[in-house]
Amino acid sequence: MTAMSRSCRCPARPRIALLCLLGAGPGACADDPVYIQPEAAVEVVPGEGAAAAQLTLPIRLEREAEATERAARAAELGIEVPYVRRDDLDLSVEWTIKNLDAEPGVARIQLNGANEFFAYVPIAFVVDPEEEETPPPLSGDVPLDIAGSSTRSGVFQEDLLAEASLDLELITRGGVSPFTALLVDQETLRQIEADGAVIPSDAFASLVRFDLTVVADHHMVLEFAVRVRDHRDPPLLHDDLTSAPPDELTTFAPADFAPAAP
Amino acid sequence: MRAPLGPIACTLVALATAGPAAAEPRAAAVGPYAEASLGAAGFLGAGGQYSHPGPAFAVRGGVDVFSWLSLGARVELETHQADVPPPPEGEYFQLYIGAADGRLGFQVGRVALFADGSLGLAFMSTNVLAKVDLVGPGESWSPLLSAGGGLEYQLQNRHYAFGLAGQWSVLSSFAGMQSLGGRAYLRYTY
Repeated sequence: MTAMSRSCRCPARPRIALLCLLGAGPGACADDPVYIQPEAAVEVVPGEGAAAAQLTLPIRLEREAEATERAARAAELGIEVPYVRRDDLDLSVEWTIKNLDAEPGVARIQLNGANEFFAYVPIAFVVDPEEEETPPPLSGDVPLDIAGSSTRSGVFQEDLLAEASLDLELITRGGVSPFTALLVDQETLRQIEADGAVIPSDAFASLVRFDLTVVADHHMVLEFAVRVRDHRDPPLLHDDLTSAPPDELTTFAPADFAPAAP
Repeated sequence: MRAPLGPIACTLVALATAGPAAAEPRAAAVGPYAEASLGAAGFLGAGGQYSHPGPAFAVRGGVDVFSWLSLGARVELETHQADVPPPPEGEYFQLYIGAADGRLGFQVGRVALFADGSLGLAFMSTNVLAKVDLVGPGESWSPLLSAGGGLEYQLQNRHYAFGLAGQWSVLSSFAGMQSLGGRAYLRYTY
């Protein structure tokens, strides 16, 4: 059972359902999950070895009052304050991978992504491929044995993606080595020091883009869905999700983060 | 001197068990009522293919306009497990319902038979059924139409009755999903 296994998560669902059933009502379930699916599955065709897909969350446009409040907070802290904060969204990614070959195979799912400032691209940290190791992805990269003509499912749980959002902040605005950020549990971190300023936890940015790569030794297809529990009032996700008109969605343009030259 | 307990006890037992109710049922109370029910509901057709039946809880309130006609409202909650092609897998969704209720019925002895119908709105808590196109993008609300019937048993106390009922509903905005439900309930009429 991998760290991405869903076995730890299922028992919570009936409890949530029971709480709702016991009369907590819609108000108590205001952050019910919303599922966002990519347009197409990710298919690793024989001979290629890897395939990738990208999914950006359909975030509505920022309201004037929100922008004003954010600007005031940014001025107070002396840092950039994100529109989509880590505390706003609980994210998880559910996946199913099918081995279309009759032979058993091994697949690895690498989860990377971007917040509204920066994207994490591990290869950007490698100057000399012969001398340097590529840093790990934000999450995943666990070998998954998949029997021939069979299916395997799993989930990148909410706590893993909260950690991934934090790690991305550490690597980019915090200037921490990806090896340090990703291999050490940072969950209890309350602030990040960046260029003399301090980024408090309520100003950590959330992942808003997911970059999933499947590496497989056989013909395999990955399907995934991003599960979002949106705590912002009003919700950050557009009502129409990915069907919303583009001009009603926030366009994020994160820069691929490249470390400063030594 | 010892009290004559034997005759007193006999008298109390006789008072408790005697009276017209033993021979003929007392008329049920008519007036404002409240009702709580517990049951189960499941979807038919494509809705049933992609979700499991689940528990349903409802409260109703209103007034008996006549002994044969009641008007009121109900609030209902259903929980179902989705069964869409993964991902996602093993997810639950809730259906919150608010509707205006009408009920026509008649009583034969202690038993009443009735037919009821309601018109209202339903709210689905997640878009998990969007994957199978039962819910459109951003769609959470649907008009709801229900029809059903049941039978009710009048208790000795004229204010209380319990009953069993069934109900068919259609959710027009959720690809016309239809559900069937059954419930056991306790009703108090003031």
